[in-house]
Amino acid sequence: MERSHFLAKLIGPVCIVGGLGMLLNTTTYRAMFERALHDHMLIYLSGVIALTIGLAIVILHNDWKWHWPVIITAFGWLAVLGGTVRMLAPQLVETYALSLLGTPNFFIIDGGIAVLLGVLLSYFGYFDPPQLSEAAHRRSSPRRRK
Amino acid sequence: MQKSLTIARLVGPVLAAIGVGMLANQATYREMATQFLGGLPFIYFSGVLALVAGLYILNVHHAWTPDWRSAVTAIGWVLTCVGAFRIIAPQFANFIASAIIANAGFFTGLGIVLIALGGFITFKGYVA
Repeated sequence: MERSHFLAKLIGPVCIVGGLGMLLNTTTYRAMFERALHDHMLIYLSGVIALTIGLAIVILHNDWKWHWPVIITAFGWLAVLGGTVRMLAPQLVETYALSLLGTPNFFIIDGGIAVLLGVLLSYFGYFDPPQLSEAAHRRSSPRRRK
Repeated sequence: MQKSLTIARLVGPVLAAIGVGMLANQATYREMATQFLGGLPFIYFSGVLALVAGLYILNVHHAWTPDWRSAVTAIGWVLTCVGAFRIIAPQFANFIASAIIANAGFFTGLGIVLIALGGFITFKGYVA
């Protein structure tokens, strides 16, 4: 549980800030991402970092029980998959992501999801609501005894 | 105390090495900074890394004691604020940094500050 809180304290604010950037600076973000997607070296480099961070999360925290830390596990596996695809086939990432960027409300939807996810993780990480933590602990304890 | 020492042993040499690079290789550093600021993706990417590093330091080490450990906390806050600013408004980060690096003595001044700060933290982390 301690690891879940620590990771939530790191990932939550990054999601909030990234999401706010997408919502407040849509035009700059669109230009920035279009430029980044034409640079295969940058895609590859971001893949190396995403794969490293994802593996670190998955190795330290691979909790699939149905309570809030499952968001962190899912985040770790998404980083592993995203990083692997970026390293193996940066040209596919370019094509796919450019078509996604063509969607008119892409940054509004993506930014909104990132802010919501970030607020949720920051709330659990920094404020640690005791009732939810206890409920999660009660749910996970009997399974451990088996 | 152990966490302060671990962070100091990592951060101190990195700051000192950047400072030495700035003083020894000013022309290359100026060119490198201009290229870096020419691409918003690099500013954004460095912002993500700075924010993660800053949040990491603040979460494992948030001490405002009246000794050298406050310098480590201050570095954590600087990284967090700079990272957040670069992610939220990369074009403004570009604008401000371009104006700053246009100053002829910028790399000399920052290089001296980084060597002093990095050297001090390295000394505290490894020797003291």
